[in-house]
Formats: sequence, structure tokens, C-alpha cells
Amino acid sequence: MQKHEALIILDLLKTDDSLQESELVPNVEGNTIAISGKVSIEGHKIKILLVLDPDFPRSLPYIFLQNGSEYEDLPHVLKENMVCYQTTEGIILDEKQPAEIIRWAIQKAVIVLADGKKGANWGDYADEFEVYWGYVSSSSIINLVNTTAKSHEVKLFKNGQKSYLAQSVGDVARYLHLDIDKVRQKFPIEERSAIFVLPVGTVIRPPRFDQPFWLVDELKRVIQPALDTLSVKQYKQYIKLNNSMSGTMVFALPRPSGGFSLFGVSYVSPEGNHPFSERGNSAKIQPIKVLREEASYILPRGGSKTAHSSKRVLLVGSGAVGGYVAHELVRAGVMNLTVVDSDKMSLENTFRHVLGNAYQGRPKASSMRDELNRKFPYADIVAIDTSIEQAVNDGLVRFSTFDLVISALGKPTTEIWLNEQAVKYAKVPILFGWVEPLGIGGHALLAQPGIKGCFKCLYSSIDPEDAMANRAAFAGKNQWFGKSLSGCGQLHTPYGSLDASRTANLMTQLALDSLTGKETKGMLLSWKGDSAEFLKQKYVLSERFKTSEEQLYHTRYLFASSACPICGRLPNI
Amino acid sequence: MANVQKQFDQYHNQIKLRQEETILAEKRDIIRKKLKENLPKVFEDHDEENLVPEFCDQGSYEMGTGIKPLDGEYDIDQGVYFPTSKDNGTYAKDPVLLKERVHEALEGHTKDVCIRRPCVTVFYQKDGERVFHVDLAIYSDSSSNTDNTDYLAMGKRNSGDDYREWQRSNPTVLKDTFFRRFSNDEPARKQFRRVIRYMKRWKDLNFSSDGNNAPRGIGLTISAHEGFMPKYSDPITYKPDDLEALLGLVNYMVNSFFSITRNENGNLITVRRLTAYLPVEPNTDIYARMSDSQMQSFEDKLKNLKTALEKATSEVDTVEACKILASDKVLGDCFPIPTKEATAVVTKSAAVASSSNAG
Repeated sequence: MQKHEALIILDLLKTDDSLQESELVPNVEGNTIAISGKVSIEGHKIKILLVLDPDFPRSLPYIFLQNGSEYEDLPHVLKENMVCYQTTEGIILDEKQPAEIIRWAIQKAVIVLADGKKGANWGDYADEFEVYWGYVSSSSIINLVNTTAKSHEVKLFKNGQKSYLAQSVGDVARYLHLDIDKVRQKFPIEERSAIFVLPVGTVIRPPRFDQPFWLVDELKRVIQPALDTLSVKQYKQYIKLNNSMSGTMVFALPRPSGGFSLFGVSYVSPEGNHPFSERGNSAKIQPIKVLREEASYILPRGGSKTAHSSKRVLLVGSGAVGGYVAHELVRAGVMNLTVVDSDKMSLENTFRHVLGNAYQGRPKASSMRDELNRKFPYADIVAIDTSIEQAVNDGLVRFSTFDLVISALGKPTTEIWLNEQAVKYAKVPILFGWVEPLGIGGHALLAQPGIKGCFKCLYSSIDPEDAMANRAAFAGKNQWFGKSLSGCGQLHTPYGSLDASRTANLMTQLALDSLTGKETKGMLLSWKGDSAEFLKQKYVLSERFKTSEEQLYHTRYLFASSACPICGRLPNI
Repeated sequence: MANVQKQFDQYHNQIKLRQEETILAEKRDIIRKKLKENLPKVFEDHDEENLVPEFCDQGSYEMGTGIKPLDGEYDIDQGVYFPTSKDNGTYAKDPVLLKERVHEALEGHTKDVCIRRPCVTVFYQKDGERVFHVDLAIYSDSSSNTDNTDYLAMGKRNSGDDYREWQRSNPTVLKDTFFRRFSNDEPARKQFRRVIRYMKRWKDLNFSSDGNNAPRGIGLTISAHEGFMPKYSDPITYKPDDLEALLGLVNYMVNSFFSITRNENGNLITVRRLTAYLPVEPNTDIYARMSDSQMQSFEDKLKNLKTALEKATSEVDTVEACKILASDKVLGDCFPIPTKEATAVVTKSAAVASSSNAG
């Protein structure tokens, strides 16, 4: 913004008293504009500084309090006395009205400061506590412990550079996808520590960055509510465990908006007295920032009481469709995944497979495991580089130990066998997904044990002529596609990757709905693509393709066949 | 329950207008050409402005619901649109005058051209018998009218002034209205057309074509528009079940008859009626011209059809089911009856087949 533009805005601001005695601050560097003035808060006039970024009015102005202001020690007043009155996300500005944007910002800031003065928003301290704590901390630890409502003992594994707070060495190993010996080697120092959980509703005014950090007394006073909840035994235990020359404590402050704010304190006590013990007052304490990498903090929530992370899923086939399914499942929080595939990554897969060219020549299943481990902490992936039949024969896979079986093989012969194993014998839900040639569409079918409707139903037409024709198919029956199938070794399949990912989306949705128990019936979902290329190559579409998407969705529960040898005799539900 | 869809498919192939349509299309094109050639001279002879018409297919030919006639007389409907206003053009007062000009332009084209109330009809003969005819509906084009609507020239040569009128009419919108609900649903659209054809053939088998004896084809089409629901033997593969769909429509029609009581010469009489209002202008009831006794016969015959279709539905033996359907007053002897041997053949399913699945 140019100075003359700023002067126009200044004139506009002078038409009312939202910013009194406003004037341009001279000699500000670059294209940044600073305006000083006074605002009224509950009858008091206080001086503020407005800073307009070069991209103003497409960004909100920054509002600062004067140093030493009586308002500086309030919630939402951050480092350098900046007033945090609005998050930058979720708003849209009309750049044609710069003065109005400033008035709006001032109004919001005044409310924040007035509420702070009255104590109306002090609960917000807990929400933002980690931000304030970060200002005063010069070192950090990484937390892997899921915070619970009760104080408990934990361990710290560290070396010169990094520290991990965890329940056990195994947790660190799983997180880093390393084995335990390697973790011990890398982080040779193990310390006992504790997380002290403060009661809900505790308000703590954070330490200020421009003042010396708390003394032991202050810390003790502030976290006393947490100590009060401990039994004598616990108190002794937690204090004693740190009964050494130095140590680290972590505090969990419940946030009004849910969850906890975590902050740490390290201490050095030359006499070996814990800061909270009777003679611990002489200990030196330092704030430590707690980096949140624990599963309960970073894993997506499943939208139900049962966490996806505790479910076990078997994925058979990690080709184009299966690759996307594996990724989306883990992204949705499904952490225990067993991937079975006997194929190797080849050049033909490159442009439709989620792994791209990086794993060429390597087995698909273990490539998938390595890729998922690389991308996602806490992912617990087992890879089996054989066919599913072989894996079952070798005793590596038992269907009944899984909460859901998913097949993305695109090989109906094997899948009819899988279907029977899962729904008839192992009594486990099974989900199938496949794409059709040349972009005409894809399907996802969920079968539940004990309920009519399974994969074999698609190959159980009442008309014996059609016994081998997939009833859900979009391609007309009895046509040989060979190289047009995206699963085959053809290099240029139109929309190959897009078809696979659209199908994987349907499958993942169904998988999650099955895992959460939201979907207890079987279901057939299909998406229709563009048939132009398919028809150009003189193939024929099925009647099913020619009906509307609404109609397809409408009949999603109606795919069971009374002629099905697997589920046909089950009662109707 | 026997599956008779194969027989329905064969039957439909038998009754639908097919090759004949190309002959009809040829005749239609000849008439179009004749009108274009002769009309300028006709208008000149009468000292009237030369109006160049535009043509448009109409009726079952255009809707794809036409069937072969039992009496052998095929027909095709043709819209002829003239750029003349129904309010202040040369023919505003007398639409029949414009029909006369069309008649004159076609005179001598065949032995038999006549002006009927809604159209000008050109009859074609073979060996002295009428084999087909082309109905020309004469319109005042929407572009010439202030309300942007097409008007149909109504009236015959001997009609009184009251019967000579320009009637609001919207045949192109009619087709759109009928087919809108199937715009994205080809299996249902095809079955809709087939079921209308079955009803039309049933009508030809059960009613004489004199006067208003028979319900008109457009009336049956409207009834189907109101009452048809697609039916499939497999909701996933969309294998049609025409018998169920036809029965569904017949049920709807039978259930839609209602009683009205009227005072006729001091006597209260109760009669049964069915309506079929055009879903577009002029929104008239197509069945209105049928007399009470014609209506009663319509209802009775529909009930008989319903009974027969229900019997066929519950029949386990395909041959027996087809025999019921092939009887005179149901769908007629065009409906194929398979031999016992043919239905007894058990199809052996293949051990290897093609698949379009990929992962």
C-alpha cells in the first residue's frame, strides 16, 4: 500500500471516533503502513498501533498495545503485545472498503480486551496455553503419550538432541518404525517422569515472555490443584521418582474447547531435592515446550466411539485400486492393516498406481508397507508378498482375526472364493471393489455375514445363461476386453488412475461405515463414468449402465440373488 | 411363475412399426416436396401472399410408440407450420381456408385427399384398397402469434362458423412431457414404449375403429404416462419384466375408473368414466368423446385384460402362460407360444466366461 492510499484511509477513519487522534507513524520500512490512535474500552482511552501489511486490504490489520499497557496481561494478547482478535481462516474481506475492515478489526479487538479485563474470557488461556508456553520455552520434548484424565507415570527417552515422552520403549519403537534395540541405541538416556493432570476448569495465567520465568513457588501454586487430586501414595511416588539432581515434569491443562494443553518443566536441583518436596525450593526450573505427536492428538477421529485405530483390516490386492484404498484407510485412522499381493510393481503401473515409479521391480505389498510407514506415524502395516491362497495355506492369514476383509484384486474367480471364506466360514464382513474398462465406471460391494447379499450374488443370475456374467457390470456380457482392462499391461488406459481413486473412495467410505457399525447391511455402490471411449471401440454397454445414477443408488440394497448358493437361503431382513 | 420376457420381446418385434416406417417416411417426403412445389402457384391463383411452410413429425411415429395396424392401414402424422397469424392473417377468420389451399396443392397427388376436422389426409391405395394415409395437421406458427404459441386449424368444409377455429396446440412439448421422467433411464424408457404398443395392439384387437368406439392411441399413451411404472425381473441387471409392467398399468387404469351420477330426462343414471387429460394445451380429455356405453365396454374389456394378465402371471408353465397371452382378446396370435420341448431345454452354463472386472 502506498502512503497516499493510507492517507485516504486515514481521512475515512476520521469520519467517526472508532480510532481517535489517528495519525500515520512516520519512517516505517517497506510498504508496511502503521497508524497510531486511541480506542475507548469501557470508558478508558488506550493507545493502539495498527499495522497494515503490504497486501492490506486483502488481509486483516495487526493491532498492538503500547508497551506497559494495563491491558497487556490478558488472554489473546500475544508476544509483542499483539492482540489476537480473529483467526485468519474462515473470513472474506471486501478490499473495496479498507476503512470498514479496520473499524471491524478495532471493534473485535476492543471486545477481546474488555472481556479480558472483566475476566470473561480467561478460560481461553487454557486453549492457547501452548502458544504462550512456546514463547517462554527454549527447548522441547516430543510427547507420544495419549493424555488421560488421571495423572500417571511416564518415561523420557533422550539423547543430546531429541527427547521422547512415552509409556514404554516399545511405543517409541512403533512410532519411529524401528526395533527396540535400535531405539535404546539411539536414545540411551531413560528417565522416569510424570504427567500431572489439572482439574477441569483450572485457569492459569501463562508466564510472560518479557519477564523472568516462574520460581518454584509460583509453579507449585499454579499446579497445586493437580497435586491435590493425588493420593498420598501417588504424591510420594511421583515426587520420589524424580528424586534426582534433574528431571522433567509434564502438566496437562484441560481446554474448554476439548482435549488438553500440555506444557513441560525441567528442573535442576543440586541437592537432589524434587522441586515439590519440602526442601525443593532452591531448584532451578525451566519451561519446556511439549510437541504433540501422540496418537490421540494427530490421528483422525473415526466419528464414533470405537476408534478405527483398534480395528484390524486385511487388504487383498494392492494394485491401482488397492493402493488408494490402503492410503485412504490409514488416513482415516485405520492403523492395523495387512496387505497381501503377489505382484511386483512394473513400469505399466506407474501412472495409475499410488506408488508411482519409486518402487519399480519390488513386490507391491511390501512396497505399500514401506510407503505407508514413511508417510504415516503409528501405521502398523504387515506385508505378505504372496497370493492370498498361499498366505492362507502358510497360516499367515486367518480371516476370522480381522474386523474387515477388503479385496481389490479385480479377479472374480479368486474373489468368489474369498467371499465364501469370509461370509460363510469366518463370519467377517468383506468388501470388494473393481473398475471396468475404458473409464465406464467402478463398483464397491459390501457383504455382511448372516445377511442376504454377497459377492457371489452378482454371479448368481436366475437365468442360467448368465451364471458367469457379473449382474452389476456396466459392460455388456460376453465381450472380451483383454488389453482394455486397466488391470492389464496396457500403458495408456484413459483415466486409469482417476477410475481407481473414484472406486477407492466408494470402498473406503463403505469400509469405514462397516467398521463403525454404521452400515450393518450389504450394499452395492456404483459410479458411472464416460462411455465415449468404450463405445468408440465398438463395445456394448449393459442395460444397467443406461439407467440413472439415482436409480443405481436407489437399488443399492437390492443386489442379493435368491439363486446365490452362499447366502440365498438366508432369511430376508 | 414362468418367465415370458423372451416371448414379449419377440411379440414386440412383431407389432412395432419397422420397415413400413421407411415407406411412410418416403411418402411423407414426397408430400413435403409436393407442397413446396405447388403451394406458390396455389397462393398466386388466389391472390394471396405466398407462405412457405415448415414441417415436423408428430404422433406415434415421432414418439416411437407406433404399431403395425391390424387392418393394414398405416398412418403417419405430419405437422405443417405456416407463418400466418391466427388473429390478423388472411386465414384468421377461417382456418379451413388454409386447409383448402393445402388440399388444392395436393389434389391429384393421390386419388384420395380429404379435409378432416383436425387435419388434411392423403390416402394411398393399392389394388383399390387404402393401404396407408398421411395426416397433415395445419398450424399457425408460434412465431406469427403474439403469445408465441402454435395454433391448429380445426374444421371441415361443411363446418359451421362455430366449428372453424384456431386451437392452441403443443405437440412437440407433448413428447418432451411424456419422456421427461425417463431422460436418464433408457431401460425404463424402452419399456414404457413397449407397454404403450401392447396396449395399442390390445385396443385394435378389442374395438372396432368406427367413430369413438375405441379409446384413441394418444389416450392410452396419456394413461401410460400417468400409470406406468418400470418393472424388472432383476433390479440389478435391469432385465425387463414386461408382463408385470403391463399388468401394473392395466391395474392403474382399472382403478382409475370412477362413477358419476347425472340427471337425464328426470332419471338419475350412474355411469363409469375414465379420463385422459392432455398434459399440454389444450389440456382436453381425450376420452371425453367416448359415449357412456363405449366407456362401459372399455372398462369391461380392461377388466378382462387384467384377469388374463393375472392368470398369466401366476402360471408356472411358460407354454400355458403364453397361450393365455396369445388369445384373441388379450395380445392376439402374434404372441408366440413356444413348444414344450423348447422350454424344457436346460441351458448349461459355461465354465469359462469373459469378465470386465479389474483392480
